[in-house]
Amino acid sequence: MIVRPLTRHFDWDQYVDLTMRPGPDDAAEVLEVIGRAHADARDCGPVTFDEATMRRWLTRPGRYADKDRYAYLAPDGFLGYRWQHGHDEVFVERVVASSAATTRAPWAVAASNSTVAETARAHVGPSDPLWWMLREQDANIAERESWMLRLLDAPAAIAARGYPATDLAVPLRVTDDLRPANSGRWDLTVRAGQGRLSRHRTDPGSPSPAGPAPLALGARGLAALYAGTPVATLRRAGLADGGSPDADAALDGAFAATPFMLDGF
Amino acid sequence: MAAPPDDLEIRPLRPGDDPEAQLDLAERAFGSIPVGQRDRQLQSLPGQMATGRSLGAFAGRQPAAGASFHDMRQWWRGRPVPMAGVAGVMVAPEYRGRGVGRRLMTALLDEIAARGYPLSALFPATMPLYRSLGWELAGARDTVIIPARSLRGLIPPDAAVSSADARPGPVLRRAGPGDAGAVIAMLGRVHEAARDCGPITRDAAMVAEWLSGPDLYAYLAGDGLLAYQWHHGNRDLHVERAEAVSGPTVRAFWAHLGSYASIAEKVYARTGPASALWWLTRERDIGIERRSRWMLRVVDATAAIAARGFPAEVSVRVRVRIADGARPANSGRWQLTVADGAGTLEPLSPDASAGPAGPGSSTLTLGARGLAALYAGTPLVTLRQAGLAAGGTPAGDAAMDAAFAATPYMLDAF
Repeated sequence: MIVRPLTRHFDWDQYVDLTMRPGPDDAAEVLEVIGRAHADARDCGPVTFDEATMRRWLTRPGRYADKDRYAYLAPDGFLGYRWQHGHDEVFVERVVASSAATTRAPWAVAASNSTVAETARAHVGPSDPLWWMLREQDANIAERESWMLRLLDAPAAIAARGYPATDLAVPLRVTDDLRPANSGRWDLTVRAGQGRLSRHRTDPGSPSPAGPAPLALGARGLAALYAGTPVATLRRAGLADGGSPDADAALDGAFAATPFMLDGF
Repeated sequence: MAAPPDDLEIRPLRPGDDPEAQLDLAERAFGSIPVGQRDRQLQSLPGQMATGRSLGAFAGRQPAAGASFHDMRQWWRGRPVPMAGVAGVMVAPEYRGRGVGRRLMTALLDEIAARGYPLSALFPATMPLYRSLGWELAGARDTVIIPARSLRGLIPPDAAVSSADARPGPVLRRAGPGDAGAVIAMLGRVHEAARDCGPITRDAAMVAEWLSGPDLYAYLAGDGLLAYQWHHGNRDLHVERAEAVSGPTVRAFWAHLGSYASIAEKVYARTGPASALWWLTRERDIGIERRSRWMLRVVDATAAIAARGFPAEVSVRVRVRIADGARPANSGRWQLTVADGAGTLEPLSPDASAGPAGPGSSTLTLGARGLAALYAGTPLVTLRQAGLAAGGTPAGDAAMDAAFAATPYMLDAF
């Protein structure tokens, strides 16, 4: 995202306590604050690194990555930014917050540089509140990079993620030559926010495969579904086949997401 | 701020009004209109005035401001909701900053409500005016850019799911103004099948005019619509629609456009964020060239909730307090229920209150703007952080997010 001009939007008077300068010993706390913000927002996509990496990243109090980058921590928010193009631009590499007050604070800090910088550039998600907080449409997409996903262990991945409180049972047929353990006929169930992928059992007395037709997915279709791609899109792109309209709608409800990432690696 | 002129009159335009004076106002607001287009607009203005969907503000006999709305349908989780598409909001330079625009937009919102539209959308040139009347940012309209050559070798359907798809490609037939009804129905089929949120369809007169454009190439397939034109002379192509229900037709449309690679270098296209196109190119050759944002207004909350689609498996029962100064009929305490794919908003009696509203209350509090953003699928966490929602419960938030989840888009501008 690029905000141009930086100055006039940031007239907020709400400053919260964003004065702590985290160092290597605060790695666990920084991870906790970032993780909690993503959990509270029910985010899909963003990553956190392990504590050792975070410890190396937070080089010394108030700095990260190298000498030109500044880190600030609040009980429920984190800001990491640096100068760019000399002092023409503030580049906000990471900003997360849980509460409304803390949401404004990092931007107020970043924008306090607007006496010097003309623009702000930031890594943000599609539902970042900043999109709704500017008076005018001065924020734009400067660049968008797409990332790819691969499910290595389908049952574990399905069990580990969160779901909305929805209730569904959908038969799947997965074909995954590189990870044969993912292949085969499955029953996907989501109940009370918990997902489960279990091996489909055919009724021994039944002459043909029982129940509704399974949705056929390859490894790529499974990955895209997991990331919230609507089933109608998967069908149109040649990544899904079979199944039923009712099951499609149920899957869309369970996996709905607009996944994003703030890190590049 | 100077007061509006004493003799300011706001009323619907009518066929007797001077079309030249209206064009003069439009040129002062948006820039000069090329000669050919000017003649066409002069011809179509009396018809537009007769619809009563254009309001004018007059100081004496002189137009001081104007605003219109189009009769549209907007698709929300695959269901069409009547929507008033606001356009051409303009104030003559000498009347700006005097509250004329605000009075005009207030009258326009009243007129939209009087005609029973549950929703209104617009592309803002400035946002504070619309926000003050309850519109809020809701969705995007993207123009993407693809090297034409990338459309030549689309990746085939995944062999893991398709038994060497032997279905023949679709037959394309040229579509003209007489096909307006078929084109509207086709777009509706596509948006319904995809359970789309945000895209609109226009009325038959507007679509017929679009299809009669001398530069447009429009094709109907059995389950889709393709419409494009040359762009930058014949250097590039501009795709207005490449929308279809089935994979083979989607693929055939983009391959059709790829066949221009011998002449055209780049293809500019309007597509949604979940368009299959993103999954069809071999490399990451698709870029977002431009993103415009549109705003939504929930004009009639009860009707808007009843008209849209919801995921069938999601159940919600949440108490909501709405404060909507510009549309008081939306204000009050409501029971929002979503079950079996349908939503209802029922008034709660004052004594059914679950304590005071505001932060800490179990009742979710929204203004008109928060309601519009929620309707468009903005997560409640975002609404809280942006100061557009308060109160409520974590369990209620999660259920609402699941019920309204959407990444709304639009392909049209107006």
